[in-house]
Amino acid sequence: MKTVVLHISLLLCLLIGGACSKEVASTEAFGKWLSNAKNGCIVHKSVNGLDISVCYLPPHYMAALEMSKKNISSRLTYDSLVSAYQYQINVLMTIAGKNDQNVLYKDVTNPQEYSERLMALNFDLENMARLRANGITYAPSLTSMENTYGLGKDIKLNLLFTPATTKEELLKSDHLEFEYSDESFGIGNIICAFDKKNIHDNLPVFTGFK
Amino acid sequence: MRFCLIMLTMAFIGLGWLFYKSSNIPSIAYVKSSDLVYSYLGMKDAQKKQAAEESKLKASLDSMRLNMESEINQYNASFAALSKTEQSRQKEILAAKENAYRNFGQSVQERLKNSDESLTTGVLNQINSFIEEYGQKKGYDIILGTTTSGNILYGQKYMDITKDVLKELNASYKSGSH
Repeated sequence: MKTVVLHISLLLCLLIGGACSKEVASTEAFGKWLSNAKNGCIVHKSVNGLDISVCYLPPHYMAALEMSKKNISSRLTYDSLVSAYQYQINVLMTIAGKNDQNVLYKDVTNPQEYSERLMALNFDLENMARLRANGITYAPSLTSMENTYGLGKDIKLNLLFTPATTKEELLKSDHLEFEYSDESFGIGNIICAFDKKNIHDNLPVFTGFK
Repeated sequence: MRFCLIMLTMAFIGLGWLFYKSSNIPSIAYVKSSDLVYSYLGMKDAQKKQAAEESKLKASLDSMRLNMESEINQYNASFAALSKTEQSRQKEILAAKENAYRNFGQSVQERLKNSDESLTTGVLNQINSFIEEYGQKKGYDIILGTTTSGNILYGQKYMDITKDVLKELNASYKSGSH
């Protein structure tokens, strides 16, 4: 009887363990996983005819992305990149319109307003975005805006936060709060919260090695 | 037999029409706009931000005023000892400073007004977008807002969804995905 119970318990453990440890074999699959709102790494908000999404990009994804760009697939490089990326927080923010119009032109009535918006998105993001963790507020250390030349209709903002604390200190916080306010789009103060369990504990395992 | 069949068909059509009509009764609710706006966490944050900006700008305005007042006192104290040319030179300098102070005061007022407007616009846009989503999700055809101008003078309590909307609105403000 005891053996049967032991076997059933082992089977259950294996089943639960198997269900929890997700695997992604490619950067594309990892990206797809991140953009699924159910996984908790992306937050969507809709304000003033705009769809705003804020995606937390974990160190594992950043490492996989860099390897894929450089066409490297060694486990050693991956581990080394992951440990390097662990001391920074990468956030990708997308501002998309609900129609086909380029978002950069939304509610813009003259060249001056367009120029002000472009300047703010390119050079003033450190005053517009904030990250709060464990009671500390961080301004972005590096920011970049895609679509400066109007190649797409959405705006993509890459923000990099480098906490003064160590990664362990940062993860003491139960959640990260990303805050963004943009007066030119009339969206007010946007706050997106990420739970530690989603952005750290429940991440899939990257297996895209040769 | 034929007559019965016709009557039965007509009865079915009638019942179908009644059902169609009853299912098309618009679903209406209302919210107390000011309660919603001023109890919204986003509005409270915006007000805090505006107050911080206001005190920062007023502090620089006050320091400018104190500086100017001290210079005027100094001028008054040394007035008798100054030559006529020096007196008029000092007077001109003080007048220019007073002018600069007045201009700065005006620009502060303008800046505060603009920032208040843009903060309020942002908050109202957030609330409007949320109510639109809320109405679609809950199947409302119309959500009315009571305002001080009095476009709704009376509404049954069961139609007042202010509390429910506010609860979800505040939850969505600092939310993860919703």
